[in-house]
Order: sequence, then structure tokens, then C-alpha cells
Amino acid sequence: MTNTILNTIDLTIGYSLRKNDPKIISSGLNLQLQAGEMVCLLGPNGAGKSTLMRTLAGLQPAISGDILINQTALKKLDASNLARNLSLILTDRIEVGNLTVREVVNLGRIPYTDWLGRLTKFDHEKVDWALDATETSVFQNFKITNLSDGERQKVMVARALAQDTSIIFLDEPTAHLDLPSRVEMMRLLHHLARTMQKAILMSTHELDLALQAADKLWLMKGDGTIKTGTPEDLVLNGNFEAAFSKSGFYFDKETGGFTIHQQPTQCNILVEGPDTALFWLKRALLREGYSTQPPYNPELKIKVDKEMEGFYYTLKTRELTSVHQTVQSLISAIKEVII
Amino acid sequence: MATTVSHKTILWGLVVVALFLFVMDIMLGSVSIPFDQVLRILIGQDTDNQAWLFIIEKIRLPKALTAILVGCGLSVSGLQMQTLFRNPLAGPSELGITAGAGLGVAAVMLGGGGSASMYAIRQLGVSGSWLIVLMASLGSALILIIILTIAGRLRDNVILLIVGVMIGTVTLSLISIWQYFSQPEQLQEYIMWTFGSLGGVTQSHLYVLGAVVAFGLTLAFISSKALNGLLLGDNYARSMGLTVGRIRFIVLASTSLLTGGITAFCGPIGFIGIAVPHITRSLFNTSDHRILIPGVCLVGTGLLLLCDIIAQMPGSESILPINVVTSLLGAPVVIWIIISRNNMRSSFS
Repeated sequence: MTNTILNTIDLTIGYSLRKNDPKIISSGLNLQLQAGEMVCLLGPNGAGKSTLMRTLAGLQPAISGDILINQTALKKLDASNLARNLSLILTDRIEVGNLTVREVVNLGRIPYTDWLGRLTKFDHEKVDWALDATETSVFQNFKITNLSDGERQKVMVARALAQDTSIIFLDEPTAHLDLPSRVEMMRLLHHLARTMQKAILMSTHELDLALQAADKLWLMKGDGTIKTGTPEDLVLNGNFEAAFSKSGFYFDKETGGFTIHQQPTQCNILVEGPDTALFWLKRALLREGYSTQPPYNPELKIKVDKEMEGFYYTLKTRELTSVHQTVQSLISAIKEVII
Repeated sequence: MATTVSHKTILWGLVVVALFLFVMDIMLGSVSIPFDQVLRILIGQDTDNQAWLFIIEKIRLPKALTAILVGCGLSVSGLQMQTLFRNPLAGPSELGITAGAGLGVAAVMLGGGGSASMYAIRQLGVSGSWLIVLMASLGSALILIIILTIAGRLRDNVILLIVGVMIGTVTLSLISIWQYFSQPEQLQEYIMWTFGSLGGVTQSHLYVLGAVVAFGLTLAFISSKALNGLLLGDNYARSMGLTVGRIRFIVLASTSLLTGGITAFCGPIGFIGIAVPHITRSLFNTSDHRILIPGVCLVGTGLLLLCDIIAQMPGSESILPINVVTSLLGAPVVIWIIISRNNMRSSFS
């Protein structure tokens, strides 16, 4: 059974530079966020990802249409009511220090506390739970400024959890992070969505990670249209490729990765051998501008064989056959043959 | 939590220090009054020396109470401004807010012609002082609104400070033009006012100042939860259900009232507003406004009483203007803030 937490009805987003002259970014949107799902919002820069997120979060008004949160219209929710349903994690760096990790997470309870912001026993339990869930309780008494970017971002996730909302929005949460922290952040968010039945929407540029970790993708194209679906469906029906089509950068359905090189034109070479070695050899050849797809050049053939410790490469041309220990020497041999 | 216990201990320690300085402030001056006599007079017992009774009741007690009000008010308004602008260099005198209050005061003193001079306003009593408070607060609010508008477009702390100094200069120039075309008697009063004085507040004025400061502090304390939320920035504050526009308005009202009211009565007193929040933050090692607001009140009280003790130069006949002393003590603190970037970073970025 699916449990829709947020949906939009015929929503038009945009911004007005002047009164009565709105600049429309996207219209006719009927989007849905389900409990327990992590959705990644992808799209090129300037497509309007931020405008969509800001509109859904109630930070800027929609041009027309409705946004329903738990079946209640967003515009009918007052600020503190909305804050109990939806929490945000932003790219903004936390500029004010002198706050401990715990104090930052405590701030997540603001929508629930009295006028002085005093925390009850229940509030403290929620904070403890949020710190545990994000594995940040070990440094709860550290100053936030003494943490690494990755740890700091996890603290912000803990703060959002303490806010105890059914929806969490994240605006490029991995932007400042190194690769291991990015992977960890994605894993954490996916885990939280599953175990706590949160509806998570994050905008990101991490296409590779999004393909692997997201339950659904919202693909925003440069013209403002949005395609939704599981990552796999969007890849197989070509929408994913289309959203990011740019010269010199294309998506390889076979490997599920992006290729940063031009379509190879120089020569098509037949390669055969064990899969692992072939995968990496193909990458090296592609970088040099050789394709490994048919129609093959009849004059060239590479065969890879496994040895005790590694692989060796046999290059066969019409005139000669040479054996190479490394991809590097193989490539230089091919270059000599072709020129 | 262990930390709250130590915060409480520091607060009580500061209360003791402030009380000590309060008594010292009353004891010392051109005439030294013995400790036991001061205590006797303060708790309302009779004393054999009527001159001492007069000095304490009419001069030193109102002055010491004024010092407390000014210390609390300026420090809290500085703290609120630093949080609102997310800028360690924000303060009432640094961003030209006191200059704005000065503009309001000048409008009354110089603009009203001879009939509305400070002397005449003293004669008017309480209602006249309300007029000056109102004009000074409006002047402060005007400058604050201008700075807030500009701050929305600036990310750089130091540039905002420069803009503040420039706006302060423009305001002072406007006042100078006004002065240029004013009568000498009016000028003299205005210039005396700019030196700053805690002693000019009579008993009836003290009630007015007390009411204004109490109201401003109440507003600040009510908004301490919201100020804590603002520590993470406007966007996060909004996402946690806080109405940023309303918080801005409350902080603006509180800061304008505190700065305007105090400046109207005591003249532009510099550096307390910027220095005290920094001293307090490093003392308590926290950014929680529920602790910082009472904290800056106590530190501000203590510091201003200390400045006043120095200003009356015990044992000598003359008195220094309070503004001179606060600047001598406060300016080095500001330099220390700018030099020790670490301190700034741990509090603001």
C-alpha cells in the first residue's frame, strides 16, 4: 500500500519579477511523494530545481494550482504547523558557531517548545533519538564548528529528524562533501526513509549516486518539464539520457555511468577476454578514441588472458602479434600500428 | 546538564560582582563615604551626616541606577544586533544607530527653537522627556531600517561595518548642518549632551528611562527563542516555523527603544553595545540567548559601573565624560575582536 504524503494538483511554479508578470518555469505538475521513499530531484543547473523545492516547502508562493500535505492545502497551514510537517536541510553553511551539536539539534524542537524554547523530557528523548539515528551522539557536546563538513551535515539531518516531520527536503545536501561522506549521506537518507517511513526529497547533482540510491527520480529538463519514475525505467526509456544530453558527455546504458569523452570515431576494435579486464580495457580504449563496438576493423584484434597475478594483452594485426603486460604498453602499440 | 550548573554559577558570580561595583560606585567620588554609612543609607536607616544622605539620594544613587539601566540596555541591544545581522562587529554605535538617536534629539533641541531646549524640556518634566525618547527612538529605528535593507544585499561583515560608519557620518553631518544654523545656547547644550553623562538623569526621568529599558528588555527576552533560531540563518529559522519578519520587527523595536531611550537621556555612549556581548560569549562559551541576555545585562551593568567609578576619578574634584571612559575601555576590545579572528570565527563563521 502506498501512502501519499505530499502531492501537487496542476501546479504552476515560477517567480514574479514584477507584479502580474510571472515568469513561469514549469506548469501542469502533478507530483507525488510517498512515505518511506527517497526521491532525488535531478536536472541541469538553471532548470528550476530550487524554485520547485522552495515552492513545495512554502518558502515562495505557487503561481497556480495546489500543494497538499497530508491532504491539507499548504497555504492553509500556518508557519508552525507547516514546520511540524516539513523540515528543510539547506546548502547554507552554519555560520554561527559557539553552539554544541546537541544545541543545534535542540533547535529542531522549536515548533514544539514553549515561548522560551524550554525542552521537556519528551523533547530531550526526541533529540537523543535523532542523535542516535544519525550516529552523531558521540560528538553531541562538540562545538559544531569543530566538525568536518560531512559530520556537520549529519548533524543537520539529526536536527531535521528532531523536528519530527513526515517530509524532509534537502537542497544539495552533498555539495560540500568528499566522496566517502557523499556515499554515507545517501545511504543514511535512504535508510531513514525506509526505517522511519519519511518522505525524503533531495535535489542533487550526484547522478551516479542518485541512480543507485533513489527510489524515484524527478527529472527536470531545461525546458521545465518533469519526468518521474524509478531510476531504471527512466534510464531504459531514454528520458534520463535526454535530460542530460550535452555534447561530449553522454550516458552509457550498458555500464550505468557517464562517459566524459566524445563518441569514438578513430577505429573499432574487437576485444575479447574475461569481463573484469575487458571493462577497464574498454574504458582505456574509449579515452583514446577507439570504439569496441561493431563494425570491427578486420585488421585489429585484442585478446586478454588471465595469468597468475594479473592479465596480459595480445594485440593481433595483419602483420604482427605482440604481447603486453600493461594496458599502457598495449595502447602505445596500437597507436603505432594505426598511424 | 553539567553546563547549565556552571552557567548558573557564573551568573550568580556576576550578580555579586555587580552588587560590589554598585556599592563602590556610590562610595567613591570627590567625597568618599564610608562603606557602613552607604549601607545604612541604602537600606533606609538614619545617618548623622545629612550631606552624605543628600549626595547619595540625589546624586549617586540615581547615577548608579542609570548606569545599571544603560549597561543592560546597550548591551542587550548590541547582542540582538549581532545576532540579527549575523555580524560580530554590529553594535548600536558602530552601525550609526546612536547617531540616528542623536538626529532625533537634535531635531528636538535644535529644531524646536529656543522653547524646546533641553533646559525647557527638563522643566516640562516627564512628558517632555517622553518627546525626546520618542524622537530618539524614531531616529534609531530609521537608521536601523536603512541598515537592515542594505544588509540584505551584503554578505560581507566588514563592508556592512563600513556602510554603517558611512551612514553614521552622514547622520552626523546632517546634525552639523543643523548646528551651524543654531543659536549658541542651544549648541552648547547639544554639545554637552554628546559627551554623554549618567548624572543628568533626575529621579522623575529615571522612572521614564526605567520603563523604556524594562520594556525593551522584555521584548528582547521574549524573542530569545526566536533569536536562537536565527543563529542558523533566516532560511532555517523560517523552516522551523519562525516568522522572520515578525522577529525582525520585534528586535528592531526593542533595539530602537533601548538605544533611543538611553541615548536621549545619557548621550551617545560608545562601545558598550559591541564589547559586552563578546566578553559575555567568551565568559559563558555559549550562543544560547536565554543565558546570554541575562549574562550581558550583568556584564554590561558591571562594566558601566566600573566606567562610572573611573569617570568620577575618586579623590579628585573633576569628573570625566562617561563616553571618554567607555571608549578607552571598549575600543581595545573591538580591536581584540578584529585581531583574534579565531574568536570571531568560533562565534560567527
